[in-house]
Amino acid sequence: MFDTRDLYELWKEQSVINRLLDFIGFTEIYLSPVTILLLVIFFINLFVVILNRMPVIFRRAYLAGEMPAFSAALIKSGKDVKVITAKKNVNDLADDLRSFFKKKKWFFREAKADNTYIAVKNRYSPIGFLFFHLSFFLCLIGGIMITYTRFSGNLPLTEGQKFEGDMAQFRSLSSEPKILKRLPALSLYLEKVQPVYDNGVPTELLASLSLTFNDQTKKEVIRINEPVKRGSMSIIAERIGVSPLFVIRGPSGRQIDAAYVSLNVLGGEEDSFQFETDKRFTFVVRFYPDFIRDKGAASTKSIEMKNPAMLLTAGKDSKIIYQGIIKLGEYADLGVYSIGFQDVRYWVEFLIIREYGRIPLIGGFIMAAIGLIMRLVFFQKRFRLAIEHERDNTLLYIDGKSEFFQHSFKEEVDIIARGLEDFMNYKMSIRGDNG
Amino acid sequence: MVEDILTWLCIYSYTIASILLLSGFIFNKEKPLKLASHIIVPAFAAHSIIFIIRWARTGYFPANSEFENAITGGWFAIGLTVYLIFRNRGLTGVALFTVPATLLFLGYGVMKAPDPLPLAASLKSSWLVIHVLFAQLAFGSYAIASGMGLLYVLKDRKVQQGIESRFYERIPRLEIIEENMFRFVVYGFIAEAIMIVAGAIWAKDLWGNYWGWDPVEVWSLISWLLYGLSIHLKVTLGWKGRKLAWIMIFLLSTVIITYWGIDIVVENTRHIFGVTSLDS
Repeated sequence: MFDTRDLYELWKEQSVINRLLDFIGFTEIYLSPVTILLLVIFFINLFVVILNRMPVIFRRAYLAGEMPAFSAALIKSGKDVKVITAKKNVNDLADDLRSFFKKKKWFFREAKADNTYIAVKNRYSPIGFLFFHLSFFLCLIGGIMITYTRFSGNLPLTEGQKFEGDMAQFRSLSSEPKILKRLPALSLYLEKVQPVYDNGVPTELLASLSLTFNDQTKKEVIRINEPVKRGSMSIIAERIGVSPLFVIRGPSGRQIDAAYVSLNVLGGEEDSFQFETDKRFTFVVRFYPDFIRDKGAASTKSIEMKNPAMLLTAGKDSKIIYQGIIKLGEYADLGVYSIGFQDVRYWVEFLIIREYGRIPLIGGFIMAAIGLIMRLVFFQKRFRLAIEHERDNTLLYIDGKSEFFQHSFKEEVDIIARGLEDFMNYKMSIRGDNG
Repeated sequence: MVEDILTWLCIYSYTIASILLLSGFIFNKEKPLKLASHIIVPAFAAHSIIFIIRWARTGYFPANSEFENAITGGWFAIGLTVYLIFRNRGLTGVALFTVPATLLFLGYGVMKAPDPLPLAASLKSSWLVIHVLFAQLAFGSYAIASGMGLLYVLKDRKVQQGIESRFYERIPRLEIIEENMFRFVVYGFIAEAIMIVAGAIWAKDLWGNYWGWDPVEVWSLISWLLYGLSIHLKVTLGWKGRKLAWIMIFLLSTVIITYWGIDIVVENTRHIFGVTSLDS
């Protein structure tokens, strides 16, 4: 949208919308008063809902309250009630029920009325509701801790360059902690950078460095997706670029200045720089890692550093004084001065992060997943059973209810009723019980 | 070579199956649906072979290009369809949604980049498998739920009109369709939750933060919240019937926007496949 950062800054200063957004704190969205108000309302609401639901949840998980009260007459009046006739007494039938459901690992208890029972599969499923909704609070704690303690900054280092805590070396600080501002002592020495390409696709980046953290020095290799972690700190390799060594020679041919200049040119972009010794000169660089001439035009065969060269455009007082290709080891004549391209190294921009809050956040994630699975996969299924003695027979009435998928559950009720019947017949045969 | 032949075999099979399914529903004839199921099952076998060949050939889980995403996403959608066909022939109609959807994504993938690409450094992570596997499982489940929604709406219309049709009698009762629709929404919802969590943990190691408000991240959250809302509408507020079926049909669009739409429209998303610079 904006060609340069200056234009953006100018717009930012003059824009009424931006001033308004600044005023209501929307330019820092996480800590904006509106966001905080919305979060507070959301979490108060969630808290009230949880408090309100808690007694119901414990009752439904049979952890609190009395056992349900129902009678054989109530079950009998149901639409899909199953009836099993057994030639045994009430107590034997109750024992059979207990053994059958115990074998199936269902929760089995006597209900409030005489000769009534409940059998429950996935008894603790309602607790999943608590897990899922409480996980939001864990995530909130983690999120607040991260927001208030996070330090993150982009630190570019060229091969052979050191960082020993000088904050001026950071290209930008994207986040500064509001509390716990003191950062642990960290030193880095970037030894070698090795990008790996496969058919022009960057498939690996190896940044070998010597890392000193809390007075302990260790060699480390940082890869993409594999940051180095030290306590609450992590170092991520984010971007890669090239730092050509430019040497300036005076009229006598004597070297008067030299520096590795970190340029953002690997993706084919143009970048520019100036030398401190003479700011009248501006240099614009387009870089070719594997230089070739394609129908006379400068181009690169690949992005591998096989034959580095650059198109250098030198300007003095806004006039172009030189434009041409210079290869590694060559010089460009600028009149009084000459500039040489003498070496090239890689630079890597590291993202240095320090933050707390990972444990509650990940804990929240895990708790949410467990809660969802408990609630929606292992949902509760319940049987109400009532035994009634009628003339010579003992009748067992069964009605089943599932929290979800009631229609599919009917098939399961049929299967379990059949299984129960078989089990009772089997028990009867081994007892030699014939009524 | 084998992969190319099988890919085109799949495309042609899914095209013919789509035409048959559409004809079956337009003319209320059962035979085309039966024929379609006879085509879908072997086509799914070919689809599975492409999936395995691609994985073996590249050495990574197929998720590195639009083509590979179509193969993986389509595999789950068609796999679940085949499962339903075997479980209950009456639910073959679900394919009316999943087969043409898979066909479109496969066609788009073939147009973009069917050849395998080296796996970019940013995708070299064990989280890729977990993240993409659950993402595609969610897509497959939601696609089936939408298919059920469509089936529900079509059958419900006939029931409301009081038209007796042998074709629609073979389709399971409305309550059964609705229950299956909800079942797949639940599976999709859980899979999408795991996908988002896995993606957040991966993003921390790759980009330095769990959440970056990237368009893909925002849309996956929107999609997850909307599906969550639909579950609440059913479970808490007792919504059911045609209203819920229409919601499930339209909600799939949020997943399609997340997985495929953003990459087409937005240039500066972090979720770009086939990366060519380490900068990303």
